[in-house]
Amino acid sequence: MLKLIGRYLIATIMIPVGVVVGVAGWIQNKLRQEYYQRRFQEIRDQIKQEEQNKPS
Amino acid sequence: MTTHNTFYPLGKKASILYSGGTDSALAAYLVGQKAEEITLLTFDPGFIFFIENSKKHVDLLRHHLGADRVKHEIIPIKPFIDRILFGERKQDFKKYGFNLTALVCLGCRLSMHTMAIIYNLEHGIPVIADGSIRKQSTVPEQLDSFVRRNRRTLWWKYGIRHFSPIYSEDNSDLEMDKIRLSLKPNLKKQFILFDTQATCPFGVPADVYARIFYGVLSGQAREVDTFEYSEQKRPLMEAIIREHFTDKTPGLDDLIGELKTLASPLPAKWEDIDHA
Repeated sequence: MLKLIGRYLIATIMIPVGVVVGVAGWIQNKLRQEYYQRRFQEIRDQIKQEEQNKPS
Repeated sequence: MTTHNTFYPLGKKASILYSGGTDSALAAYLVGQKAEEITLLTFDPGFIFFIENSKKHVDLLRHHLGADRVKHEIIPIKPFIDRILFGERKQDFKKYGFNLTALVCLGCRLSMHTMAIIYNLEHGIPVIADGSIRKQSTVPEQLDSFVRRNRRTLWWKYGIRHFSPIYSEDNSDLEMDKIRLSLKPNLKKQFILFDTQATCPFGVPADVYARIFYGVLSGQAREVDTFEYSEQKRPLMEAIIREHFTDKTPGLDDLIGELKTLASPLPAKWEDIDHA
C-alpha cells in the first residue's frame, strides 16, 4: 500500500518535471535541427566505413 | 584455455550487466544455459535506492541453474560516476542542454561499462550480456546503433564479446512467468519503486523525456547526441581502465590478449546484437 502511494506521489511530481523539461528540450532541438541533420549523415557515413573495416 | 562445447557453447564464464529487473534476469537465465558459470554484476552509482532488491531474482536463478553456477556482485562505482557522468557537467550542459535529462542515463551506463570491463579482465571472463531491448531503444543506452557499435569499438577492444540476447523480446515478464522465474506477475508494469531492482531518482523524468520528446519529435537529435556523448566519454573510460591496471601483473595488454584467445572460438556475428 505504501509503495503504491509512493509510486503515485513520485509520479505526480516527476512526470510534470519531465514534461516541462521535455518541452524546453523540444524547442532546443528544433533550433538545432540543421546541425543534427548534417551530423546524422556524417555519423552514418562514418559507421558504414567502420563496419567495412570489421575487427578480427 | 576455455572449452567451448555443445553443452556450454559460450564457454566457462560469462557476466551479465544485471539490474535485477525482468529484462536482465531473463538475459541471465538464457546466458546461464550456455555458459558454465555466470556472474551477475549489479553496479551502485551512489545515488540510487533499494539496490538490495536486485538480489530477489538471484535466488530463483540459482534454483533453476544451480547455486554453484550463479554468482552475484554488487559493486560501487561512485568514483567512475564522478569522473564520467559529472566530471564535465558544465561543458556537457553547454553542448547537450536539456537533452542531458536523458543522456544522464547513458553516462551512468558508460560508468558501469567501465567497471564491467575491469571486472571481466581481472576475472578472465570473455563474454558479457545485458538485458537491452529494442522496445526501450527510445533511451540512448539501449539505442540499436549505440549497442551495435559498442560491441565492436568498446567491448571487443578489451577482448570481450558483448551481446544483448533478448533485444527483440517485448515481454520479458511474461517469458519469465512461463519458465517460473518471476517473483510475481506483471513486473514490467511497475514504473518506479520496483520490487526487483533499485530505483533511480533521475529515472522518471529521464524516461518521460526520452520516450516522448527525444524520439520522433526531436528528429535525429537522439542518434547524434548518443554517438557524440559516448565518443566524448570514451577517453575518460579508457584512462580509468588504463590507470587501474598500471603497475599490475599481468598488464592490461596481456589480459586483453588472454580474453581474445578465450573469446575467439565464438563466431563473430557483429550485425546480430542478440548473438555473441
